[in-house]
This record gives sequence, structure tokens and C-alpha cells, in this order.
Amino acid sequence: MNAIRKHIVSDSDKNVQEDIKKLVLARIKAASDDLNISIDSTEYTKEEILKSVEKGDELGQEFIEIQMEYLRDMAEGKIYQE
Amino acid sequence: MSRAILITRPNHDLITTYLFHWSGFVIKEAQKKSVKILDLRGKKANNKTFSNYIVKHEPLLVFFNGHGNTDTIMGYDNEPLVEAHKNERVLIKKIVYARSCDAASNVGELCIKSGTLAFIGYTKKFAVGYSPSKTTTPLYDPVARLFIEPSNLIPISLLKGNIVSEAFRKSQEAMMRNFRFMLSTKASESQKDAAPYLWINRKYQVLLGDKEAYC
Repeated sequence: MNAIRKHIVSDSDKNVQEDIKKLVLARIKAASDDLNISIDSTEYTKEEILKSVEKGDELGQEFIEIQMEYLRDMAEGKIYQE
Repeated sequence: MSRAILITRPNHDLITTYLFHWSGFVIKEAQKKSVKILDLRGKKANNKTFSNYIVKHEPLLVFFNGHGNTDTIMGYDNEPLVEAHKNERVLIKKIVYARSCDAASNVGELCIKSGTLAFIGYTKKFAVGYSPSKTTTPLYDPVARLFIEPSNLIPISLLKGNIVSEAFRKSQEAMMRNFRFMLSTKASESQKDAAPYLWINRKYQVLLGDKEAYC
């Protein structure tokens, strides 16, 4: 039973991660073409950010974390706590 | 300790070039206040020159523009200027602002333990949004301005004689003002879309050490 529960939780985590990735991809796709981001000594175009998020590489994870942390903070009303 | 500001301004890539130009406003403030300026511009932002200037001139305020990581603050071509467990003592009795990724999370802490008066920096990566159509005129970039102007307020505020906590507060408030603008209908699309990155910069900007320190 525990093995089944672990399997379900693990699949559920994967689904959540996939949904997060789709959300971040959608946000970045909708972003302006006249915006690049410089981070960690490199500059990234919108296309480069999209590729990395799609691939799920280290940079892609970085951008996902930034977007998700921002969205969580907004949802928690942190802008109004300042 | 002398009333001097040492500024590192490498310009070996696009974003350091942006910071190079925008730091000009800090230099103007130092000139107005008759503060001695040790401007390590371009290739002068190397380890040898940095070390010599720090020892010879003993600036009280050190303003780093350049890349970084948890263990290093870098200069031209990413040459290390300050390295954790190697030479953080070079910043003893100084007030430091490091406009570099991650520096406050380890090397900044070590600096404080070694005797740096105060250290303002970032515990995560410092991002700058910019407009690719404006890279030849960084000072007119309407996106980068929203990131770099509040950051400039730290050294400018210190040069005006404010204590470190006040300089930090002014920068935080300016970032929040810009952030609110970026969420408003007055912002352009690119300014709006850059908002998450400014939010993270603000969230992970920290002040270590003596909050009452001043130049």
C-alpha cells in the first residue's frame, strides 16, 4: 500500500512540475520581444529563456524559480505587506 | 581610513558596460561632495590595481560593479578581486556595496566576520532587465533604468552622509516604487514583464554588519 501511495505522490509531483513549467513557458511566451535579461554574467533573449525552460536545464530551472517565487509572493499579498 | 570611494567599473560585456555608464551618476555625486574618487574603470578593474589602490589609499567606501558568485567578487574579464578564505580581509573597516550576484551569501558574511564595517549585496543572482533595442544607449534604456537607478541610490546615499541602514532603506523603497510602476498601466510591455526580476533583486538585497556605519 505504501509503495502504491509513493507511486501516486511521485506521479502527482511530476504533474505539478509539468504544470509549473507550462505556466512559466506561457508567461515568457507572452512577454515582450523587447526584453532581455542579464543574469549570472550572461545575457538571455526571450527565445533562449524559452529553450532553457523547455529543456529544464539549470538556467531554465533558475527562471522557473524566479517566476514561481514572484507569483507565490504576489498571491500571498507580499506587495501589500511592505 | 580616508574619505574616498573606490569604484570598480569593468566593461568587458554588455551588462558590465551598462553598469559602467550608470555608475557615472555615482561618480558625479562623489565629485559634488569632494570625495576622492578611485575609479578602476575598464581593464583597471584587475586584482593587482585593486589591491594596490586599497592599500595605498584606504578608501572607506568600496563599490563593486562586476560579476560574482557566493565566493568571489570579480573585476574585468571576471578576474577575482575578492575571494572567500583568501583575501576578504582587504575590506577591513570599509563599507562595501557589491552589485554582484550572490556575493552577500558567503563572501559578504566572511568580510563582516573579518572586520568589514558593513556589506550590502545580494544573496541570490542580481538580474538586470534591459531593452535589446537600447544597448547602444544604456543610459536611455527604460527597462534597465528601473533596475539600476534604485541600486545607485546605495552609494549615492552613503556619499551624502547617510548611515548604511538609511541607504539600504532608500534603495528598497525606490525598488518598490519602480515595481509598482511596472505593474501599472503606465508601464510598457517590456517594463511590465521585467517586474518579477526586480522583485527578486529587492527581496534578496541584504545589509550585513553595522547598520549605523557611515562614510
